[in-house]
Amino acid sequence: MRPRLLCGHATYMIQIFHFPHWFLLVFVAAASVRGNDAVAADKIDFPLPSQPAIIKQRVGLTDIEISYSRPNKNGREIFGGLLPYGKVWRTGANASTKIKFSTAVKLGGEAVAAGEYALYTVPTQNDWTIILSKDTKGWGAYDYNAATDAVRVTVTPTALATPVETFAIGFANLKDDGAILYLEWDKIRVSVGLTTNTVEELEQQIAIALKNPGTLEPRFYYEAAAFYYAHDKDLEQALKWIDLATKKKPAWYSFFYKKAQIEAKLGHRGEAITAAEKSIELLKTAKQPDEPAIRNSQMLIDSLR
Amino acid sequence: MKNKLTLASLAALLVFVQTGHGQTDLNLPDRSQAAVVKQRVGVTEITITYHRPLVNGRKIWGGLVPLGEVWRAGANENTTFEVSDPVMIEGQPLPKGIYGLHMIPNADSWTIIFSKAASSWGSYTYNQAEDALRVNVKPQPNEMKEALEYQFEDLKTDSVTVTMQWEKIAVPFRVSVTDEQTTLPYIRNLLRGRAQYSWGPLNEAAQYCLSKKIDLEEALKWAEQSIQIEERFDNLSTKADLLKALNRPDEAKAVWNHALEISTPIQLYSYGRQLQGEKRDAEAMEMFQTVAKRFPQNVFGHLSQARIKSAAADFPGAAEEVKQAQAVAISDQQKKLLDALLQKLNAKQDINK
Repeated sequence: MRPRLLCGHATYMIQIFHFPHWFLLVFVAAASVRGNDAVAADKIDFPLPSQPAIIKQRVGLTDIEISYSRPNKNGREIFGGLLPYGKVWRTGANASTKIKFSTAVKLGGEAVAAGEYALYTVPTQNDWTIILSKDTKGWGAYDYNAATDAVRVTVTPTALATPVETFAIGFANLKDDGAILYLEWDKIRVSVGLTTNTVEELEQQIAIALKNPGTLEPRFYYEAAAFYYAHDKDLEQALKWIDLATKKKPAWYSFFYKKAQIEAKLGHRGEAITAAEKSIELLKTAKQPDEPAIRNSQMLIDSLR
Repeated sequence: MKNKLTLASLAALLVFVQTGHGQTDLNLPDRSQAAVVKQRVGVTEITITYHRPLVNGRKIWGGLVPLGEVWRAGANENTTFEVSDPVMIEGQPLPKGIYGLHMIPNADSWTIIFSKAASSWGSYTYNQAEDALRVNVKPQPNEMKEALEYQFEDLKTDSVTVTMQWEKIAVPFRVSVTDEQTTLPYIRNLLRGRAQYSWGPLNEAAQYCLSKKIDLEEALKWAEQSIQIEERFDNLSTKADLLKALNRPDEAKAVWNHALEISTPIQLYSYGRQLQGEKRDAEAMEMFQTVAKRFPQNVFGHLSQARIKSAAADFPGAAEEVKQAQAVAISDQQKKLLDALLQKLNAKQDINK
């Protein structure tokens, strides 16, 4: 098949001379030799060699969405070969790669406002610069302009044991307030830390809810306590909440198990054991006792004895 | 999560929901956080929607997830697998639609289940009678993955490998599409719309079939329709190539000659450049010869000569041709672009490379 004239006039025109496409657009337009308007209007969206993908990930209370096109290695040397070191790469194929955050986040420790960005990288042998640009309209990296940078961070790439054929972006190390955003292609993995403001948001939620304590269910106090416990916040406060919860719902084992965990973290050995024993006692009243839950409580007791 | 534990917490959740009014809980993040991965393969979209449980120091296979039992292949609701066209899974047909994805892990063979029930909680209500398809695949050792993850790997325009990865196991299955079931219906559908009135899409459709060597008779009709709308080098050359592929060389030759006759220098020259892009160098040079012969005084005639000479390592001769191209060039911009070629030639570099 002849290369299609249609998958972006830009791609086609580059082939005429090997020049930046905008230059050729001017040139070709001036010479007025191509009338592809009909095609542009009714283009058939055929598969491109690098096919589009979307990944969406919830991290804490933040939704992140990435859309990109995925080139293949195809036996080529990629970094330092197909993609020269030190040059801005569209970090994908075809149009620039886009990343969208539903809330403010931090990328590699740098603050990023909610919104959509174009994701570029500059690979070099020893480090990679990751760029979020506010200009999301560009095709590839041709239109990239450093003046539109929202953030730049530098990270160290790691080597992969097995080469990756198709360029991939993904999320690893999922936490409720952060994750690792990774890029993988050929023998390289690049990881950058991403943190969300889950903790601050939940603290706000709790503060607002506590203004009307009359409407609060025991579940609320349990969750607030569990959240403080998980994030090593004020444990005395967590204890107060879980005590409120157990007082309102004295039959729920999970409240007592959480109390046992909080007491244990506070170093209250005796209280922790008593609470864990209470949770086992409640669990055993069920027709079909939940054995794994009993085992969890027992393990906590054993670790304290 | 163990079945019992989850059932218990589900029951607890229901109780909480039912206890009624007022603020019952915080908007806490899911322990197993939601994710969607979507991949286009050819013209077909594949979407996997799931929740990502963590290993959290637990024994997963044969521990948290018992061997030999149906598992939701994720967390919370059943994982869903959606395809926008009919596909083949490991060579078995699966109609377009949305499926509940379940798996039965075993030591050396896993069963992947596509269930017509796509909106269940976990695998608790899974019913084999609702299976759309079951395939068996081999699990593979993998680097440690703390959070369960679905990936699309080894992406081709007609197939992709989906892998479920968790802990130190990867479970791959191949999804493939056929032009007959996806691209051709898509093209035919498009060509019933506005696209049938422009030469471009018709020609593009014909070219696609040509490249895949499928449906050539229909492709020939599309090429002819395109020519009827607007006769140009693009669609005439498509028609010529199609006739050649259909083993009608005489007609092909006639159409090709007509294409050359009606074409402008830049059309032929760019066609030569495209051939070079495809590494069909001999054909490209033949095309440059044609341009040089037919349009000796034109910018592109000189440029063609320059390319022929440069390919033969006659750099001074090629440079001379570029200078002559500059002499007849219309705009300063053209001249500037040609300067760059000149510099390359002066440095004794082949401008075809």
